[in-house]
Amino acid sequence: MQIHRFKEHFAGYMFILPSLIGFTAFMLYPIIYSIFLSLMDWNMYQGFGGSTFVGLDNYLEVFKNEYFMGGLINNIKLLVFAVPILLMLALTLAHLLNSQVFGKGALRTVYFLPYITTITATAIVFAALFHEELGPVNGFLRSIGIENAPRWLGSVEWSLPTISIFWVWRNLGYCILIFLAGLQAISPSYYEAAEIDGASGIQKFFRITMPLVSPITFFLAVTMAIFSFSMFAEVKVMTEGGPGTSSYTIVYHIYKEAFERYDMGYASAASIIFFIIILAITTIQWLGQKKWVNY
Amino acid sequence: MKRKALSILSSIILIAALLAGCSTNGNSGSTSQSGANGNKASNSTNNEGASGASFSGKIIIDPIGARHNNAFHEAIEVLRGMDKYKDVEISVLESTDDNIKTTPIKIAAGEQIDLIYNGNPLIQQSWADAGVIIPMDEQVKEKGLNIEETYGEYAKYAYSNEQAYGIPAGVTKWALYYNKSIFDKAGVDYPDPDVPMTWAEYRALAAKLTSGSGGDKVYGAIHLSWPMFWYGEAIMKLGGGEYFYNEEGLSNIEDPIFAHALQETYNMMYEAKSIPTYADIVTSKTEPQAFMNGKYGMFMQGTWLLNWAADKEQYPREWELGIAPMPVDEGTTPKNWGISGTFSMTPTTKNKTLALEIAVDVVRETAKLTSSEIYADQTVEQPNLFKSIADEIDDEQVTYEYLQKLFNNQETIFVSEKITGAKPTQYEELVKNEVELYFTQAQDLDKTISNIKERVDEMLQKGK
Repeated sequence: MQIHRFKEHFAGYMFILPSLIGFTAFMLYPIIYSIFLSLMDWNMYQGFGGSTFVGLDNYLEVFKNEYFMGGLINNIKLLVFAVPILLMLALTLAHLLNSQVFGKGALRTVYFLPYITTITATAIVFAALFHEELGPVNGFLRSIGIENAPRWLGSVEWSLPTISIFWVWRNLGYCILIFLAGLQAISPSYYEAAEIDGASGIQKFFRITMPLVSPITFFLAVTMAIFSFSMFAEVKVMTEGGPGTSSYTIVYHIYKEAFERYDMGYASAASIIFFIIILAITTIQWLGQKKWVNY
Repeated sequence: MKRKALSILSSIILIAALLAGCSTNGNSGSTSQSGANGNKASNSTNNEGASGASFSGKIIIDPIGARHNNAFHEAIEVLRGMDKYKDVEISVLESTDDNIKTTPIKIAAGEQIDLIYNGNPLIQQSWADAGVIIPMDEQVKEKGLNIEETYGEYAKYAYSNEQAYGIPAGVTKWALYYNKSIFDKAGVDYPDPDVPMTWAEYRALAAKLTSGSGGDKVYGAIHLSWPMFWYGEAIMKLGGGEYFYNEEGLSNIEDPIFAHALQETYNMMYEAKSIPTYADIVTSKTEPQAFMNGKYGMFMQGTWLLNWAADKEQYPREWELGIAPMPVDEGTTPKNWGISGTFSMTPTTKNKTLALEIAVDVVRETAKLTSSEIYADQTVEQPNLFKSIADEIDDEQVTYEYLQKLFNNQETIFVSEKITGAKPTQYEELVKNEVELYFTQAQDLDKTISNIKERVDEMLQKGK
C-alpha cells in the first residue's frame, strides 16, 4: 500500500518537475540571488572576491535617492489615474463592441493592433501625433480655438500624462478582449428578465453587467496595476525620463543603475523594494476585492 | 514527514544553486585570473613582437564605434597578414551601437572580449570605474611603449584615474558644415573658409538663414540634445572639459560663461527660433543625419559627417556642402573641440601582452589607411586622410587640400569636448536633468545654475 502511494506521489512530482525546475532556475533563484546582491557592494566584474558586504546600506541609499523617490511618485500617479481610466474605457468599449455595432470585428482588430505592434514603432508614431507644432492633435486643438495647446512630451507638466495616454491606448485592446470574454459569458436571460421588469440600459449595465464582470475587472485591476508599475519601454523610447526627471519611473531608474552604472547591489536593493511595493498594492487589492467582486 | 523531507531537499537544492551562482562569479574572477595566468604562459612561450618572436592564440575585438571606419577593417586584414600574427586568430565581432550596453554584460558573464572600443572619455571613465576595462600600465611598461610620444596631444585620452586604460585611436574633430543652397536662397554670403566667425556672428547668421513656418520651416542651424551644443562655447573659451571643475575640484558651473552659453542657446530656440527647440529634438528623435535632409542651414559636427555627405545613395541631396572652421569666442585663431576613442583590455582578456600589441598595431595600421577619420598614432603618416572621401563627396569646396588645412591646422587650439574630471557621467546626467528643465521653460536660468552647482557639489563630495 505504502509502495503504491509512494509511486503515485513520485509520479506526481515527476509531472511537476519540469515546471519546478523552470520556476527554480528562472524565478526563485534570481530572486534569492538578487536579495544576496542587495546586501553587497557588488562588483560584477570581480565577483564575490571583489565585493564587500554592506548590510542594509543599499536599501537606505534607495530611500535617499531622488530619482527613485521621483520614480515612485510618478508610478503612483500612473496607478491612480491611468489604471482606472484604462479599465473604465475598456469596459465601456467592450460593452459597445458586445452589442450590435457595425463592423465590430474590424473594430476589435483595430483596438488590439497597438498591443501587438512593436513599442518603439508605436511610440514614435505617437510622439509624431503629439508633436507640439506639427502634430495633428495640437492642430485639432488649435482649430477649435485652443491657442496654448499642451507641449505634451516636451513639457514637465505633460510628459507623464502623455506617456499615460500612450500606455492606455496601447493596453486598451488587451483589456477590451478580456472584458469581451467576460461579457460574452453572461447569460442573456438576465438581461431579458431585467427588460421584462422594465430596467433601463444604464440600470442593466450597473446592476447586471458590472457585478458579473467584476472578477474580470479585478483580474485586470491587479495585472494592469503591476504593468503600470513596471513601465519602462514607454519611458525609455519616448522621453528617457525627461524633461528633467518628470517622467522617471522606478524600473527606468533600476535599469540605469544596473546597466549604465553597473551598480548591481543598489539596483538589486531597489528591485526588492519595488517588489515589496507591488506586493503591498496587490495585497490591498486582494483584501479590498471581498467588498466588490462577485464570484 | 515526507513533506518535511521534500522541503529540506528543496532547500538544499536552492542553497546549492545559490552557491553555484557564487562560484560562477568566482569563476569569472578566476577567468580573469586564468587570463592573467594565460598571459604569463603566453609570455614565456610567445614573447613579444619587439624581439621578433610570434604570438599565438585568439583575440576577440568588439569595435563598437570603430567599426564605421573601413580603414579599421582593412587594418585588421593587414594584421592578419603579418608574420608575427600568423598563429593568431584575430576575430572582430559584428558590432552595433547596442554593444555599448550588451558587451559589458557579456564580459561580466565571463565571455572573452580581449579588446573593446571606448567611443569617448566618459565611457572610458565609467567603464574604468565599474571594472569593465582594466589598466594596462604593466603591459605598456613591458612593451616599452611611450604613450606620450606615440600619441602626442591625444595621449591624455589613454588615462583614467591616473592609470593607462586605453590606446588612443579614432579622433573626432569638429567643423561647421553648411548647406550652400540655403545660404543662396537667403542671399547670405558663405562663411569664410579660413577665418572662424565668433559665436555671436554664428547666432546672427543662423537667424538670417531661418525662414518659413510649419512643415516648410528652414532653420538656420540645428543643435542636437548633445550637451556640447550648449556648453561648447563655454569650454572653448575656458580651455576644455576640465574646466567644469574649479580649483577645489567642485563644480565650476557658476563661471558666467556657462550661464551665457545656456542663455544664448535658449534664445536661439525661443527668440530667434533659428534652431529647433530641445523638446522637439528629443521627442522627434532627431538624429544627426537629419542635417542631410536639407532643412537646416548650418550644423556643427565631427568629421564623421563627411561619410554621410559621400553616401549619396543613402542621403541623396541636391545641394552642395560647405565647410568652415568652428565658431570661436574671440579673435581669429581657430579653435576646435573633440576627443579620442581608445581600445581597452577587459577582465576577460586572455593574453594581455598580445592584446596590447594588437591594439597598438591596429591603431597604427588604421592611421596609415584612414580616409575620413583622424587616427591618434603620431609615428606614421596618414597619407590617405581625406583623400578618397573628398573625391567621393565631389563638392567644390570639399577638397583634399582644404580638409587637410582645416583639420590638421597646427595653429588650431584643440580642447576636450567632454566633462573631464571626477564622476563625469554623473556630472553630465545632473547637468542634463537641470538644463532640460531650463530648455523646456520649466525653470529659469539662475535656478538652473544654482541647482547644478548644488547637486553636482553634493555628488562630488559624497562617497557614493
